[in-house]
Amino acid sequence: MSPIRAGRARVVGVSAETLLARSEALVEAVDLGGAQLPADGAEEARRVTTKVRERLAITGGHSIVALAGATGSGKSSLFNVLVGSDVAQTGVRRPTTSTTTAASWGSEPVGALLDWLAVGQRHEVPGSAEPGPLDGLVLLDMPDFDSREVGNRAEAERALRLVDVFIWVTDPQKYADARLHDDYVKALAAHDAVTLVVLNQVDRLTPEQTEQCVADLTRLLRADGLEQARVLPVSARTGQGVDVLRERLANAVAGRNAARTRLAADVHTAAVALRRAFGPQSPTVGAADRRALQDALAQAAGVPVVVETVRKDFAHRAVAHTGLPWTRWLRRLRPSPLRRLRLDGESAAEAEIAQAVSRSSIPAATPTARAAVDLASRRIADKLSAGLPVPWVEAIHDAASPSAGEVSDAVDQAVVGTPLQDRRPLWWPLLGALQTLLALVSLLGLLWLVVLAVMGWLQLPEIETPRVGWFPVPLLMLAGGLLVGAVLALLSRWFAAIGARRRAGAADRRLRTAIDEVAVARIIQPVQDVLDRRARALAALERSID
Amino acid sequence: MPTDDADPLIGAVQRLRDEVSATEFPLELVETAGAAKNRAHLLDQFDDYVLPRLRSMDAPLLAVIGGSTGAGKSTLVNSIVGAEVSRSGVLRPTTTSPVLVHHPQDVDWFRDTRILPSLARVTGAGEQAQPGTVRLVEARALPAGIALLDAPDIDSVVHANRALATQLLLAADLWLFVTTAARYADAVPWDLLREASDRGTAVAIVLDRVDPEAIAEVRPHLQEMLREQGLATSPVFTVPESRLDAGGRLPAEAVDRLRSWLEALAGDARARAVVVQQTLRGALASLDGRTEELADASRVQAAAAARLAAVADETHSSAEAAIQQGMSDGTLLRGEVLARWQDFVGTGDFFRQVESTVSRWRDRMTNAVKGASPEQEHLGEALQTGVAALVQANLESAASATVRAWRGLPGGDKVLTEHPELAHADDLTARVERIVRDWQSDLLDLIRRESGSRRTNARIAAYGINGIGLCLMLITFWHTGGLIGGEVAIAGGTAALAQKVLEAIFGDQAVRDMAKKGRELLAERVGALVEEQQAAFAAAVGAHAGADRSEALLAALHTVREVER
Repeated sequence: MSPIRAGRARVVGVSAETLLARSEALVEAVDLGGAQLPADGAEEARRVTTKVRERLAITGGHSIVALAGATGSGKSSLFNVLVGSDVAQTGVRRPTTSTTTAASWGSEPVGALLDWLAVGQRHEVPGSAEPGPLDGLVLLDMPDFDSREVGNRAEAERALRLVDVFIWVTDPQKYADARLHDDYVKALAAHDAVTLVVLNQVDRLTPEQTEQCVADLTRLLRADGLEQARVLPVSARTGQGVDVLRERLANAVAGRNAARTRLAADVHTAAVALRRAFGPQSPTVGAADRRALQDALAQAAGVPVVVETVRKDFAHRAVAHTGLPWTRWLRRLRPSPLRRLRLDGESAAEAEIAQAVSRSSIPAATPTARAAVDLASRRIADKLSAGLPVPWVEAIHDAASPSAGEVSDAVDQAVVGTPLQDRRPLWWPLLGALQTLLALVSLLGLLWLVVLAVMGWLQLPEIETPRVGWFPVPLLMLAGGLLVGAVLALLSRWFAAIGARRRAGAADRRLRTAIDEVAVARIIQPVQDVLDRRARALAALERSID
Repeated sequence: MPTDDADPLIGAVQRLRDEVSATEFPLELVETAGAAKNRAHLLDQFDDYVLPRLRSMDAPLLAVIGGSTGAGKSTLVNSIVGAEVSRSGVLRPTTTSPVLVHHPQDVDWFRDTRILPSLARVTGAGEQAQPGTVRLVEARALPAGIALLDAPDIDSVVHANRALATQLLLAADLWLFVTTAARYADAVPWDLLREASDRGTAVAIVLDRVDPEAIAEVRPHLQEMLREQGLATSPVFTVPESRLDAGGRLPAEAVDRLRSWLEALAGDARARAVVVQQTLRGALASLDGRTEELADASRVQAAAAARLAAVADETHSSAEAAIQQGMSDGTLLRGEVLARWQDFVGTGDFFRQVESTVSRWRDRMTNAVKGASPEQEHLGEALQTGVAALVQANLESAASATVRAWRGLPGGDKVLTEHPELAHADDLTARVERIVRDWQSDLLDLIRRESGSRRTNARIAAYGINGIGLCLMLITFWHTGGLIGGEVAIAGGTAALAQKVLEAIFGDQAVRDMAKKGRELLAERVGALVEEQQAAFAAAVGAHAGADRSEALLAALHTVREVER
């Protein structure tokens, strides 16, 4: 229940500490949100925060109640009735009131508050030396908001921003005016708790007509968003209903929290308005997005080519080390495939220089590669910003697209910096030595056979050649050495193919890890930073809404 | 009834009306927000008042009773005709659909759609008022030659009422403006009165519901305000706040003066003609400023649309240039394409050193190109993805650059909200891929057309048409212009080989022609796609609907002025 409608119950409103904490959270959200929040919404939030600080700094438990309404609805007459003397000027000439008049009840000094309100015409209600039910009330008679006098409207709107309790005064002629409902009641519907609607001049209506009008006005107010709207029929002329109004005012004052209720509603409204600028959900960078980006960068950096080269390189070197000694020299003539891409890293110093001075000669930063990087980062930005308001979408896109050349360079460096050649496997020297041995054996066998043949030709006495079964040992040595060597060479090619595939796989993983680091550093982290900032701002905003 | 359609003034006004109708404001600009409203009012006024009145000068005078909610308009009408023709009450707003009261003799003037063609006619009292209708009520108490139209309010929460009332007031020969002691200084009615005064409409003011003791103060104040507004000659009728009789009507003496003034007007054809002429002249005279406002707004709109379109044009032109650059400088031939090419021809470094003559290359080529090897597919894929990515990335960055620039330009934001597809063309990938595929088949067609003789045919068959197509693709992308140093060697080496192959088949002149033609075909397809994208942006700003029509408007206005003289 609100203080203004609660019967005699004293409602405990929001405490000054809570209010201050909320308004500070609001300004924190605005600071964090930065350029991604609408300028007018941010401006309003800052204004509200300033107002909260100023109002809470003014001591005293006053409640400022404003009588606002159209020209001719009888605000000044009602004001005079409540004050008990003709303080405000009344008349038939429209508009009558063009400046705000204040009346204050009670002995507490009210000067600072009225200075803050910038109200010049002040009246202290006499005879309130002893405590009364309206002590602490500051009642404002405001200019109209619907006449041709534009200045009146400006003054009314200025004061309405500062008051604690709104009393909308209307009459049977004007109660359905668009100006009242659309421009004021609807706009200030968040202040439901500190709003009261008074239908003045009911002396012009019969009781049945009054009932009809009150019901119709209540319906309109509900449509405006005042869900607990209650209309008070009064007549300033006959005094009908004025006692009830006075009682309501006493309730508003007694709680001494109308100011905080109004300010809390202001903070709430400003925060809710800003909430829209954040969009619905809070997305994060998912594994799938990361993977897609990684793939695109890998493609752009030519990783498939490099991996393929690693495979060929391994096979090439394996054959160079373990192939038949007779044909190995042919292999040595070709440079290793990795060397062609300047990725072999044979001497660490050379690789470092290459990294510092030049780029690898793998395909780099062509428009096509740049285009692929561009597309990939745009995809991830699109996905993460889906459903968000435009400013956030733009911020995320900005974060996700550093200049494409920069990313290409970074990826290139990552590829160059990744070691691709492993130490040579143990089986290479073993098989290599075995091959050499076999070659030697067959060479020896050949020599032996040649010696035998020469001896036979020279008809030298035949030396008994050792035989194994039918076959002479030298022949076995020659044929066996060649045969086993060939079989071993085939076997080692097979091993080399398996090993090459494994090396290629390992290189692929290492390269992707390196590229992933680039993706995180250059694209994902900046995007995540924006998302984090948004999340923190949103959290601060939620704190100010609770 | 229609008097003289050959009257040149009618023709001229009709032409101006058509020009106004053709002038549209598709962009939402701060400067032209008023103009769109002005255009709607102007059209209403042409259709509801100026044209019908010009065509039938002797039609009854239409007095529209307008004013704030709760001012007592319906009560006033009922009291004048002495019967309940329009419902009155304490609930606001009371009247939501207009009631036209006329003498039985004048029924023919109002039954058809001569005036207010947008409102359907309803007769009979029992019916529930429907929106978009006007109820015709006959009343013998009202003299022939004048009709009263009870309009809805101009300022209640029911916004439809305000629009309808404004339209009805524009159709009036005479405004009977009803206000009250509480209302006479309200801003909304005075805005309308100012417009009426600017337009030269004949206005009579009814100051209703005045406490008898307040008359002495309120009436002079109101008259002073009217004088300030330039409505000093308008008669003011005061109706005191009085107790209503059983029928909900004011006592006869309260409305006596008003009724007799209306009767006099109805009876005196000359006085009536004066009122009609005043309002008609005023309406015609007011065309100057309002048409000029429309012309200015049209110019502003056209300029804004042109600015937006120019941005789209610029970004897309530079995208096209970037694509052309990427395709012709040989950079497409590096990277993966190069690697795939080497796989394709299956060369190792050893053989590169040992074999050097072109003839040996060609032998290897023959082996490689014949039949669709996986290497051939890889090369083809690499080339296609390269081209597609190049085109797509450039188009997307053109689109996002346009969108960004538009957000900062007047009117751009709204267009983007209405056309969210501009920022994200979902089917772009598919379209880009399609043009690349289409281009490939263009190349194959090109080869088939070139292969006239049987000898060439046999050679092509020997290599396989797809392999030849790939070679042609490679050559198309090789254009030494943009390359430097080592890159020439890489890209050139790649393409030179392909070129040798093709030259052996077709002859060098034909190969040069085919490469040129291939480039042109691709440029053509890419150009068409870029144009399509750009056209989507141009269409969104309504580049056509928002054309500058200021000249035509002013010319039509000039004709009206000429004819009037």
